[in-house]
Amino acid sequence: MDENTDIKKDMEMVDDASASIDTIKQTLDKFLDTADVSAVYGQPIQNGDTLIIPTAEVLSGMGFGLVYGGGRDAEGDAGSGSGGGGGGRVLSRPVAVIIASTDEVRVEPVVDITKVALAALTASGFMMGMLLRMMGGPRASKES
Amino acid sequence: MAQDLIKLEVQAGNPITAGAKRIIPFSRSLRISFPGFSGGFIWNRPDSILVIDSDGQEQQLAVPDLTRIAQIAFIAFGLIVSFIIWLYFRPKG
Repeated sequence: MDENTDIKKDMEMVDDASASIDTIKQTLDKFLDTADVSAVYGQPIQNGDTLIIPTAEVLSGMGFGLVYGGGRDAEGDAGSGSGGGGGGRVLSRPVAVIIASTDEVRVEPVVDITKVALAALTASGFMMGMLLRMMGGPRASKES
Repeated sequence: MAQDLIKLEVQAGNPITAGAKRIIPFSRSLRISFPGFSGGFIWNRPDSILVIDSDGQEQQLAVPDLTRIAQIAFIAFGLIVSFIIWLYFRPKG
């Protein structure tokens, strides 16, 4: 009777773990899909004689863990359980648009002005910071 | 099966028909995975396209990321100018 109960509990533990592993496999498959060509080239859009294909850069990161196990309490009753967790993030940004007309195929870049302006501000911050520091240095030493 | 720590690959996608032309897209992906750690990091971006005309003539067009190029150029310019300022104003002797 006790052995049967233990076997049942072990089977439940295996079922729980299998379900968790399946979920992780599905999530991992979706994660690996971001490395595919179809992730960066969008569905072509037909507009008259022109075909437009959007392109994007995709960045993704993911991590997860899973544990399962069993044991017995002081009275000898068996128990088991499993648990896991994970997290991830996918970032996407348009890069260019491919325009295919009857005459030619060309690539039109997409420029994110906000990101470029932030980079310019950061660069000017470096320069101004260095200039103020270096010009302030000798003056401060003369005064002292 | 041993898994690569860093894997860089160029992949070709399915050809897209645009009138009499065929377009084959290429992407460049970087995969980073750590041994003993479930998960990883993927950076995937468009690399180029191959345009094949009806007469079989091929033309490779790069897909430039102007935003990234401009960002790198501005930051590099800021760092270089900051270094020049430091060289010019540094205490001598």
